[in-house]
Amino acid sequence: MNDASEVRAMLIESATRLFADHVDARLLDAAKRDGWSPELWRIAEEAQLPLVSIAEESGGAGGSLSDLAAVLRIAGRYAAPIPLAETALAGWMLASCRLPIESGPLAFGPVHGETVTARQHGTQWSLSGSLRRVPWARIAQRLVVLVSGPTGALVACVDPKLCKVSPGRNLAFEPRDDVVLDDVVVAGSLVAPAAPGVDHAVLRLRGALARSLLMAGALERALELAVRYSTERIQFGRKIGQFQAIQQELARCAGEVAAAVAAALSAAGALERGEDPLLAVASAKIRTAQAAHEGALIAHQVHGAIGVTDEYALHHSTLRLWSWRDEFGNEAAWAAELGRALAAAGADQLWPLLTRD
Amino acid sequence: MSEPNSGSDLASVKTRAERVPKGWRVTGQKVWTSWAHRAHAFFVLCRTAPAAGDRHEGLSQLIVELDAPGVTIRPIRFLDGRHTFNEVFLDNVFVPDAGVVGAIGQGWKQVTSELALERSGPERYMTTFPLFTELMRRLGSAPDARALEMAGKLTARLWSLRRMSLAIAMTLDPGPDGADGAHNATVDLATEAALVKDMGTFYEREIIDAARLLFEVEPTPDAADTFERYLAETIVCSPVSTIRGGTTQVLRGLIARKLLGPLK
Repeated sequence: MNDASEVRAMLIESATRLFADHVDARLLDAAKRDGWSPELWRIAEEAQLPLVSIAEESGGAGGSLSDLAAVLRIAGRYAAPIPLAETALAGWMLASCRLPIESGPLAFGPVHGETVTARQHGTQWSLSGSLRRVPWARIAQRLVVLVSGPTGALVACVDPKLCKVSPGRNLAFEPRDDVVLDDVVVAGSLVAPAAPGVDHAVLRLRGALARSLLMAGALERALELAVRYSTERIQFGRKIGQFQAIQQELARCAGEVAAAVAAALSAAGALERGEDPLLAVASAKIRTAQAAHEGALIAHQVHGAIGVTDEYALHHSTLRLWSWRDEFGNEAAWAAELGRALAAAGADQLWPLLTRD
Repeated sequence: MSEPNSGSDLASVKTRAERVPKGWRVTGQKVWTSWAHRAHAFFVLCRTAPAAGDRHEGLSQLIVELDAPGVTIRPIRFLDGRHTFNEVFLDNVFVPDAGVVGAIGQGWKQVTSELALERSGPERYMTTFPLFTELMRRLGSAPDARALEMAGKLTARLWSLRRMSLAIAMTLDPGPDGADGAHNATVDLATEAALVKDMGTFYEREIIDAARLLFEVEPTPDAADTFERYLAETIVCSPVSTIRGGTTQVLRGLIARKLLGPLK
């Protein structure tokens, strides 16, 4: 163990305890109504979880991308109804462009590549454009937007109250809101040129990585629930886990979960070490999405009818899995993108690309 | 390891060794011994003490010289006619004490830990990789949408399997900066290795199916074209990987027992 991994082990332990202590059926049900849990946000913010991986001198909590990856996996496992991934990503945009990071939940956009235009009026900027399905926009303190200025891309920190926000949701009742900016005025101090590497492609890439990590955690929970249920439920006079048919399905599910965890965490590590980001993140998003498909359905099958009720916990995980696999590019979209890069590189580059680590 | 009546149920092996001065005398029959007709020696799992009570006790591993008196090797031809497998008959074959692997009586523990590590190795998910490379060559630089998606998915699965396999290897041998980069195994190593083999062996078949379905090619064993030849070779080998080194069903049982713990 080196220092970095010891610090990570402590972070994992404290984050796990925090979510285990506070995320329960009551909190998750309330979040379905309210779109999120302000109560959990307050506790997570006190523990400095939202800005992990952003340097302390930029107003973050310090730590590496792998530290953030560890936190997101745990957040996914507990179905934490707060915008941790989005706040970290928006915070990273702000820090990269040397803009101040304010406290409170952050959202970012665009997540579907739309164009928001910025025009300068003296010291101020005026922003106009429409954004589809922005995660958590209606509960965010600030919306960090990549916009198109007269001389290039800019990053702007916007008060969502100045925008027209139409609430929407994903399958798991998480806010996915349409946002219209109609000449929204932003002070010059909250707008900066986009730093190199802050662009539409990287937002999609980092968003996909975050969803992969959340899915890995959600899959772990789905498997835990299925295993526990198999040791409790009795049919034909035996615990259902004693039937080989159930055992084989659980083992298949465990494989999917292990692959998802390995892919998502490895992709974060690969990005941190400067390896090919497309190969790592596309692989992680494709593999976790496939695992989400198989894993969620196996977990439900093992549970039988009780698993499809809203009073049993499984749906908190599976509804998220079915949403997250399609956010920031589904497996077909990423596979096509990765396939194009591989075909362009040529057959003899396949092995070198896979092993350049 | 395997015998005619001991396949998945490996602990039931009947080959036995008796203590003699300066060594052991081995009698029995082994089967599926790859390359026994070329090798100098092979590893034999056998019983060195009777199976009283726990049948996992009393097993040992010996190295048997294949040119020793009492050894008979007969070929078992693979379904395409090739000769790699053999059956090996052992009739009172002498093995000196120096031929004992590890410790007498520890054979079960030794073979199961060997198998556990073998199961996560590249030969469990990469035997059809050469076909994948040739598939990419045949696709060229501008494949259609369906081919691009298949290539991307196959690569993503391979990348993920390789990361799992590497994580196991790095846990066994961390190297100078091993604590970074590798993810931690979600279960114990032997179970994680079983998961790699289970998924890896099915992954190998996905490559074969992609190759078959992307091109209209009939499997041609002696084709001059490398892609066509690899396709033919991998198809005839396709049932093997999910059988050798622990069948899919045995592995999944092992994984499930680890997940569920004692249920009685």
